[in-house]
Parts: sequence; structure tokens; C-alpha cells
Amino acid sequence: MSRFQTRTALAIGLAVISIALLIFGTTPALEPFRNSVLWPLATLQQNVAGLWRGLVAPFIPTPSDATLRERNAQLETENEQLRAEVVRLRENENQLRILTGLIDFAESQPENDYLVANLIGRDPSPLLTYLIFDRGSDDGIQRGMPVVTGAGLVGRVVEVTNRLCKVQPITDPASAVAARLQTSRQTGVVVGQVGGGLAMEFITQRVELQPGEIVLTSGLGGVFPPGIVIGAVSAVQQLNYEVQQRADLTPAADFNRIEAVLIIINFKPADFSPFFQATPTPVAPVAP
Amino acid sequence: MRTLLIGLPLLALAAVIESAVLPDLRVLGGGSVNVVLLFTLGWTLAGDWNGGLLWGLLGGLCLDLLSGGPLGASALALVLVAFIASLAEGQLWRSHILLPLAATLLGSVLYHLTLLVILAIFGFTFDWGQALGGVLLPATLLNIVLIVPIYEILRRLRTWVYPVAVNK
Repeated sequence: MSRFQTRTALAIGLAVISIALLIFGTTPALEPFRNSVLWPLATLQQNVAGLWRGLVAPFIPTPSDATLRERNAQLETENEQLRAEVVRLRENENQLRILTGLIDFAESQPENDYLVANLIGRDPSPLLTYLIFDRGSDDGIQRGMPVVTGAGLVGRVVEVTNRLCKVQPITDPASAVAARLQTSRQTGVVVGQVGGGLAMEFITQRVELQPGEIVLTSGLGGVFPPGIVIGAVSAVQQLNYEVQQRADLTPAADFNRIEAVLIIINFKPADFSPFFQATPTPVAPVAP
Repeated sequence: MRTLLIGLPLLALAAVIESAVLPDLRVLGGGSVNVVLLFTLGWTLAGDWNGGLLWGLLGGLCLDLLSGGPLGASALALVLVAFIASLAEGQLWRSHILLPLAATLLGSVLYHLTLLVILAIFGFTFDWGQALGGVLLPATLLNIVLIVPIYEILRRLRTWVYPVAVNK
């Protein structure tokens, strides 16, 4: 066998392994393998990410005086919290009337439990927008858990290993979040845009949308808890011949500056699959 | 065996750098250097024709494990690129100074197109115009600039690892 033939055979073999991984890569049987291989990679990634942050920190444009810089950061944090508080209070006012009848149900819901997670990487592929955090199944993280910052919704956990989790941000083009306009209470779906933006679709034409209107999670579909800020309307696309209108949103969370997030660990996404199973056909009674 | 011992830590580090560092340095709308691709191409063109294929698989798996995309996508793309690059073995123009540049141009395009097709097959949504103009194009230009030093370093590394067999 010539060297070329040997190499061709090797290339075909390796390609077959890759294709097999593509087909069977998500099977649970491979989870232990993935975890064991990811462990050293995750350790290396945590160290490299920490080193890189330390290296770039002096080059981030901030006021030269250290005290001013610290004060500025404190004020920004406080401002962010106060703005979120104002939105929350307005939302509470609107919700008070609606929730009166549901108060018993609301009281039966436990408060959210949070776990802080640090961003240690982003998806290596510029085509994908997944975020990688330093919390995994060892910390109690499960698929489907919502992820938020003080400003608003970030996304949800889509993959978990024992030490890491991957989060699909709401700005991902494959993401869709059931949403509600804070003022009119109309619902729609917020979808991610190529390039990192957000748009709210399926809004009825009856609503008069104004830029700046706050958009929250509606809780419909059971994927996210209701009442989390998603963003604010930045532009409205209303065409008279369309059945529905569409709005561009500015995300509440700053996805370019995320360093740490909160994962809501006591929220269980609703499972609707039993409703979609085929109903057994009743058997006709047999005549005696 | 030496190929794997050297390649594994290098490729793991390269994949981690692509995940933790290079996203902060993206240019022209989203393109960044594909370090794992350059290492695979550089090692293949340095003369380890079979080893380059293994580097492609290992490096691709490291990228896939850190990515939200399907496991095996980058691995398949890099094995394909390494195999195409290995066709230079035995050719008269194998030592031509333009070979690494031409191989990087071809390899970058092939790598990204293969990835795009696999992602599309698996149902991922993206804008093809942005993917080609905002990711593939700048990444290819950056890769072409950086292949020269990386190839030179890997060529010397290979000479050091395989002192006898390097010019076969």
C-alpha cells in the first residue's frame, strides 16, 4: 500500500469517526466521555480566561483615578438596580389587579433561588452565540434553567456538564421567548436576530406601540418565569396590510459586558409533551 | 506518538484561546483567527502528513467540546482540510514559499464552508451573507497573515521532534 493510499485510508477513518460523533454525539451514553474530556479543558479555560482578563483590565478605557473608577462602577451598578426596581414596581402595579384572583396560586409559589455563575468563555464559532459559565451539574444546574442579570433576562441553560454549563442567549437567532408588553398587556414572541439584536413578533395591530415600552417574559409556554425584563421597544415596524406588527427591541442585559449572571435554580420548565401524545382510539364494544 | 504528545496540549490551548480570548478580538463584524486550523495546516505542511490528519481530529474535537454546535463538526472540517493540504506531499512545489499562503486561503474557505453546511444540516439558523462576508472573509485574511510565523515555528518544532525524517 503506497503512502498516499495509507493516508487516504487514515483520512477516511478519521472522517467516519467525526461523522459518527455528529450522529451519536448527543446520546446520553457519551456523557461520561464528554465530562471526562471536558474537565481538563474547563480547568485550562478557567485559567486562561482569568489570565486574559487580568491582562486586558489595564487597557479598558476608564477614568485614570482609581477612586473615581470605583465610584463610577458603584454608581452604574446602583443606577442599573434602580432602573430595574422602577420597572419592577410599574409591573407590580399592573399585575396587582390581575393577580388578585390568582393570589392563592402566587403565594403557593416559592421565591426564586439563585446561583451566581461567572462567564468563562463564549462559543468559539462566530456563527454561534452560546455563553459558557463555570457552574455545572455538580452545583445543581439543570437544562432549561433561566439565566438573568440585575438588568434582565439573559437566556437559558441548554447543556450541562459536571463543571460547566452552556447558555443559549435570547439574542441567538434560534431563541424564542414568550413575551408581554408591560403597558398594553398584549403578548408576542421575542426572537433573536443575526447580529445580536432582538425583535418582538406576532403583536396585534390594535396595540399602539411606543418606543421605550418595556417588554417582559409572559410565562406562556412554561419555559421562563413571568415578569422578567427582556428589553425595551426601540423601533416599530407597522404595515397596514399586515395582520400583525413587529418591534425591534434593545435588550435589557448588556450581552457584550456580561461577566457574572444569576441562574434561577428552582424553576422547572413546564413539560407539555403529554398533551401532544396520540390519544388512543376507543375500542368498539363487541356484540355478544 | 510524539505527534500526539505535542499536538494534544498545543491544540487544547489553541481551542481554549479561540473560546476565551479571541472573541474579544473579533474584527470586521465577527471574524477572528482560527488558531486550531492554522496549527493543523502548519503541522501538515511542515511534513507530518499523517500527523496533520490526527491534529485535525483532535483540534476539532477540542473546539467542538467548547462549542454549542454539534460534536464532530469542526473535527470533520479540519480532517478534510488537513487531507487536502497533505496532497502537496511529493510535489515539486512543496517547498514553494507561497504554498502555506495558498493552502491557508483554500483551507480557511473549505473549513468555514464545511462548518456552515454541517450547521445548516443540523438546523442552526444564520445569515449566509453575514457568515460569508462577516466571518469567512475576515477570518481568511487574518489566517493568511498569521500562517507564515505559525508555519515557521511548527516547521522548526518538527525539525526538533523528527530530526532525521524531516526532509523525506
